[in-house]
Amino acid sequence: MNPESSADAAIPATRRLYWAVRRELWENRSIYLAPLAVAALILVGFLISTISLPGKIRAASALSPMQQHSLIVEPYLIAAGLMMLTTLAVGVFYSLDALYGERRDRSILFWKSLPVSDLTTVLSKAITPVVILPLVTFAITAMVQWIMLLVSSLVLLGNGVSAAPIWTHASLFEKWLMLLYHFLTIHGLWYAPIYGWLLLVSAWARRAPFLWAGLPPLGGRGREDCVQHLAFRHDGGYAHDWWRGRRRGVHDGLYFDGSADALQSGRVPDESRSVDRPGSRGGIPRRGGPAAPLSRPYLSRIVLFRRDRSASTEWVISPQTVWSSFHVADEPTSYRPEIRAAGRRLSPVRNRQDVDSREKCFVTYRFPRQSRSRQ
Amino acid sequence: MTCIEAHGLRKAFGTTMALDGIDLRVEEGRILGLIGPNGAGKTTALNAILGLTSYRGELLVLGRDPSNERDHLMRDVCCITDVAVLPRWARVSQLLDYVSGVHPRFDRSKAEGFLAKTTIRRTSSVRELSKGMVTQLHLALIMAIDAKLLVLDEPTLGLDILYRKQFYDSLLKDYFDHKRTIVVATHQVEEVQNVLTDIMFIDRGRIVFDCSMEELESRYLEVLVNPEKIAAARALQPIHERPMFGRSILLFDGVDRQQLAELGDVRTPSIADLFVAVMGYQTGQARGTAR
Repeated sequence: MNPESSADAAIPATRRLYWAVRRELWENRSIYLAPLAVAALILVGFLISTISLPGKIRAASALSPMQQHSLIVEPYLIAAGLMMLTTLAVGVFYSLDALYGERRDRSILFWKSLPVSDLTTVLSKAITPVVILPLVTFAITAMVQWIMLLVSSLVLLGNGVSAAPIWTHASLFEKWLMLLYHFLTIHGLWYAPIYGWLLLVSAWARRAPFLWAGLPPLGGRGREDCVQHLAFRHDGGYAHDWWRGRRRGVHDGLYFDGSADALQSGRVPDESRSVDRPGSRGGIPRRGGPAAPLSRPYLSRIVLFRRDRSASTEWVISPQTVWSSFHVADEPTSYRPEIRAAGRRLSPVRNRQDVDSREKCFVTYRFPRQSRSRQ
Repeated sequence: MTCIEAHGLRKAFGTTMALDGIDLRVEEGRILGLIGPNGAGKTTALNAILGLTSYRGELLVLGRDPSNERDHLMRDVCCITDVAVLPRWARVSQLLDYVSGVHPRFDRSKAEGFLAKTTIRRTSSVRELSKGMVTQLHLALIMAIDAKLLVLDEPTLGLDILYRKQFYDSLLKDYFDHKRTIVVATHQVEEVQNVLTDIMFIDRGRIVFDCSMEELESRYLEVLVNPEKIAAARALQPIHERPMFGRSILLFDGVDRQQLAELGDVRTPSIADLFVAVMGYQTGQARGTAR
């Protein structure tokens, strides 16, 4: 087209995506603040529990290696479990607000005034819960577990008890590999369809996305797929395996087959049974399979909504603005904004006192059903 | 070069036609004022130009189709569509980082220069700024973009009178250089009077009046007529008449200046008076002659 404009189109798409993701982290600080807050709570709880730790470890020497192991590992698993719950909660709230929030506060008009495509924006909002959030929480969880191990070692050493058993049994490095795998597959891929659905609702809803999100995806294939995905939880996930393991009397039923050897073998955990399903591989919908809610058709629908849905027509303004812009003396108008404050209708605005006493006003533009004929 | 070209632009909201077949042609280097009452279709027209809304009809902005190429178009177009749209959570430094990260034509040092003249601190978040400061910040970001087309939609809405004046002053002083095109939509006619090169009145989704400022000055004249000469004046078919302190102000289209000077004091009408005349809101003798 124009040589000048193609020459300075030098900003590559990846860089724009990078800035779009950074924007998400700036805007949604809960992505790291919520896990950090939970991590702090876990550490406080753990610190309190270390009072009884030396006694526990002394008593544990009489137990079998299996029982010893489960005793020592339990707090680390609970910590990881809590962090995962936090991750899921943050992801759900994030996705539901991601594309709705910018329309509600009208900042979408600013974002759209910059040369960033709707696709880039939607991708950044999909990457955040599916990749960034699991990685961030993994890092925080690993840090928490590391601090827990150090603190308990110090406590034990201070009480003249050997810290060797906890270092043997906690085997943090292995645990971290599993944890990373878990975060990426379960919290990334597995939950991706749920985040996809929430993003779609967030891009589409004109109000109250929370209400709409409760509905299962409409349309035969979409619904079937989401239900199928929720069904994954049935035989997967930390908590369930852990619980099943307990009931069977196998104390470490988490990833291992229960024999003491397996603990030391460093085998990569086998979770494929939870992730592979008809129509999906590794949690990602297979080509030709049913369209899962984070597949291309879904994403392109979200992009179209981002393109065409306009910013909220209702916004909050100050009383001065109401007076300077909307009082009736201004001029007759074919469509008047509706102005409300504290639930009361103020428009048409005739008296300055009506608005001056208000803290904030809501303005909604409504097009008339039938246009008035000119007098 | 043509900057904006539209043919039969239409957009409906339910049963209401927000744009009812608009034909538009804006050449490079003009400052066009899109003037109309609330709900006339100004914002819808600008949103279509900026690729923010879907539409029917033909529209080319800088040779591109805005609805499908918004991100490309925004390299050469910048806009302020509303004063309150900067994200409230953002810090000033974050906005500078972001825009310089994604915009190839953003000159960060220029934006910092504008901000240095204000009291806005780099560490403040938009939430903490006053309305005037938010506008200054938005303006600093926009003015530092080397764009070919600047689109402003009610840019001074909600600002006090001091900022309004400043706004248009800095627009002319710092931005306009006769190569750039500016389209500004407003219903506050008085404040853009001296800025524009072209005006366009829009009402109910249609363009009802369209002329350049030079044409306006040569074609339209306003005469302050004493009661005794009113009959003679009315014979010349004014397009609008309004009383003032016992005398009448009559607005004429294309009547010879000499002829009018015999009736009373002749002057160029303000855009506001012309607007009222054309829109036919006031109960004058004649109805607006929309073309």
